[in-house]
Amino acid sequence: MPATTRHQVEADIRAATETTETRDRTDTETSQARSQPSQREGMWTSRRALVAHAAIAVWVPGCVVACWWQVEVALSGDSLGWVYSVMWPCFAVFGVVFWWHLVHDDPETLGSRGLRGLQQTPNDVSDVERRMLLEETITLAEEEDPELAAYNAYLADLARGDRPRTRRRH
Amino acid sequence: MEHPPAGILLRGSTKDGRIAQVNVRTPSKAPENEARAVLHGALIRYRVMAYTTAVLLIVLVFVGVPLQLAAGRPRVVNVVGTVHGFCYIVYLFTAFDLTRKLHLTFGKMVLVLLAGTVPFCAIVAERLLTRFYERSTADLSLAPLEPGIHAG
Repeated sequence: MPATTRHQVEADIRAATETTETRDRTDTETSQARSQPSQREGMWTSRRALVAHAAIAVWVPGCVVACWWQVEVALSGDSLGWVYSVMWPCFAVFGVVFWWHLVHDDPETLGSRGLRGLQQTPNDVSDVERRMLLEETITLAEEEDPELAAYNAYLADLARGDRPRTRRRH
Repeated sequence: MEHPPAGILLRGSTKDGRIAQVNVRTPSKAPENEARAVLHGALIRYRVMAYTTAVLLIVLVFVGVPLQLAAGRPRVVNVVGTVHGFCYIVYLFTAFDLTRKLHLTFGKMVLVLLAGTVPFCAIVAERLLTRFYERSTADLSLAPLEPGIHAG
């Protein structure tokens, strides 16, 4: 291996080790935040949550009234009313589901913002780290196993495009 | 796409052609890969439901209702109305999922949800949301990550 590449790998190793430590810590914090969504501070009183409380307070009674209205329509002879009298309670339940999400969602770990956060942490170090570990482990394995070392030397020759000198003479 | 877990078996060759097989612990890219898939999946699901709901509503309003009122044939309204109703429920789910992942304001979220009940509005909403999605993820990489290793 050329000396410049070896230095590059060593520099990569240092960079990878440093950033990996930071990343591990971030991962732990994120997973803690995810495992305890109900602990997010101020989530019941945020602006969005207050709007959601107001909306759900109007929506659910509205759905109940609409359901009752459709039951009356159905009883008066229009059988399509039965379909809508099933749907309105569904809409009420979905309102509650949406309301729950609006209160509990943490925008910083969700969707496009969450992905941006993940991509801005230096997570492309893992490739460098893998390469570095591979280098280290190969060296150790070669020290233990001379046969592997010889085979690897042969492979390295092939990879460099060198031909055995005996061939060049022919 | 399948992603290797934190401890993985590496098989590879280095730049100078040596080979090895090692078991190492590497930081996982799974959360990021999952986030990419979840975000893009939300858009695809929404678009499918937006077009389905929009077409059904157009048929309901511009074919079914005239048939019922002018020709006294309520069959189209009964069938398409019911199907649209159930599609709209699915549409609500997909639309809410996408709008919350794109961090739309509450008002815009409600407008997107209501778009499924007004003819042609779901199509307009789909166009606007797809463009908004492209704008708000322009700086992000959305292609699935390669699970393999690149050892030099």
